[in-house]
Amino acid sequence: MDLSIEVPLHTGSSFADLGSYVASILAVAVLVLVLSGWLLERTRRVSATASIMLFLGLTILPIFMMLFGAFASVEQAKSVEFCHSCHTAMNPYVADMLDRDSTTLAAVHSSERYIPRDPCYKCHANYGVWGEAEAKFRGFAHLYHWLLASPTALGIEQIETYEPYANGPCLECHSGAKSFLESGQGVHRMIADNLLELDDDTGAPVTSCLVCHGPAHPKLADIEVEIVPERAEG
Amino acid sequence: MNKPDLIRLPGPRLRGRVLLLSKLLILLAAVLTLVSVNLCTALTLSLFLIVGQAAVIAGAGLALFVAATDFLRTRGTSEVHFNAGETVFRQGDVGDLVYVIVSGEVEAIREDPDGEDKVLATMGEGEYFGEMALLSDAPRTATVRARTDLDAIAMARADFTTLYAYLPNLRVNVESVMTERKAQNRERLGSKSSFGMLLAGATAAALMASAAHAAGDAAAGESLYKKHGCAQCHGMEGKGDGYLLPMLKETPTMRDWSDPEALDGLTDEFMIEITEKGGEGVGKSEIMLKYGKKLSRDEIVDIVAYIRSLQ
Repeated sequence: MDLSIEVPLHTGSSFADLGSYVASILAVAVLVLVLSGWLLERTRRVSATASIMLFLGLTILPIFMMLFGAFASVEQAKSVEFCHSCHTAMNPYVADMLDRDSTTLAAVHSSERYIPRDPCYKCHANYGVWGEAEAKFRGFAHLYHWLLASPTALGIEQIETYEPYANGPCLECHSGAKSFLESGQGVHRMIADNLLELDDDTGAPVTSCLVCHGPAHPKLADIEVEIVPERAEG
Repeated sequence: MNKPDLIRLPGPRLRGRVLLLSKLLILLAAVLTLVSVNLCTALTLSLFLIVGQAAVIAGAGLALFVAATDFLRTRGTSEVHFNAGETVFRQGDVGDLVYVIVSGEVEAIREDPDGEDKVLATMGEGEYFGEMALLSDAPRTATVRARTDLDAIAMARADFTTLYAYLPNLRVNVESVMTERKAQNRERLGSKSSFGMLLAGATAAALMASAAHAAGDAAAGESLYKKHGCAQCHGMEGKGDGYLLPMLKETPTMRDWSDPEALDGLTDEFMIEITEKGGEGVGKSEIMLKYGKKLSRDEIVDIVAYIRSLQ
């Protein structure tokens, strides 16, 4: 599937790009320092210089390399391309999102650039600091499934969200917006409590945004799905 | 006798292996980082986050362990172990430790790049070695290797020189042993019996002397030596009796360059370097000033030639 979408005219560097540059520079510096120090050490010359090079290359720089590398990798792992590389069951969802004629929520948000970057992550990581932390923690569960070639990761089974879709990610952007407050003669004001209230049994919002504005993605039953278990025979 | 309550530090073989492992882990982590941040796929991300991070933590931890043991080794008194055949230190190394043998044997070897190495002495339990380089502030004059498995106490320069300064009996003993060893070395190095070896030695000595003088102009060196204040500490005749010495806060151990053995183990290269960078620049006493900006290299070579001519 071609995941390329038209690039907006204004494209600044992201934190992920910056993290990648710094981590790459640090990794090259580590390689140079360790190999040069090793070589100098073997020639038994300038041993003090070799010791300093090895100390920097083996202790200080690798720690920063690890931090920047982890930051850059995790940031890059938010991209649609990355999510899609495992979630092949989501092929039709991604195709629909990139379809500018589609009227599903995901497609509208993508086409209109309401979410300019990483739309999968933006909507599926819960709102707030703990949402980010939870998403990263779940990332390790994703790695576990990927490494063990879980049927879910291969797209053989119908995948589901971890829990009922919360209103938080929607309200993060829309809540308080003029259109949000005034549309439908102020209906959002009236149901504000319901939007925030969760059902005790299911944990789902009493009134989900998707009830009126959904679906976010097309229903799989309504479209032709070609599931390719890429790693099933591997 | 109770076992000494000292830190036991790893020997050179274990240190080398730990450091090698650390280097390999960090190199692996660096490669994984480069791949992961530039080609972010599930596989590279998994490898980086699991293998790469673990490699950095383990590799940096091992390197810090080596650095800490190296630091402890040169800052205090510790137990060390060497396997049979391992080198304790090499001729030309900077002297930083004195060793007291607890068990095992070592041999002191004079390495000759152009000839065969010569065993100067063997030492066993209760004997010590490595003191000459510390007291004369010069590089190691011989290589010491473990003949058998060796357990020793390693004492850092600061500890040893403190004891040496405050325990007169130790000083007398050390000086007596040093004198004896010098005589023994002289005897062993000069005891080549065959005429051919004698001739070869004489030829080599002549060549070395000629090379030393050919490298610089001793007469010019003498003039520079006196003009630039070398004599203030090293003495007008290079006997280490300069008039400034008694005025120093701590009197350094000076060499008498007229002593035929005073320059043993000192290469021209080292003498030039210490003159250029000063004692501090080569890990020696800061009292020796640096002349690298004041004198050209040719002038320093002339001074070295003059010093050699004093013998």
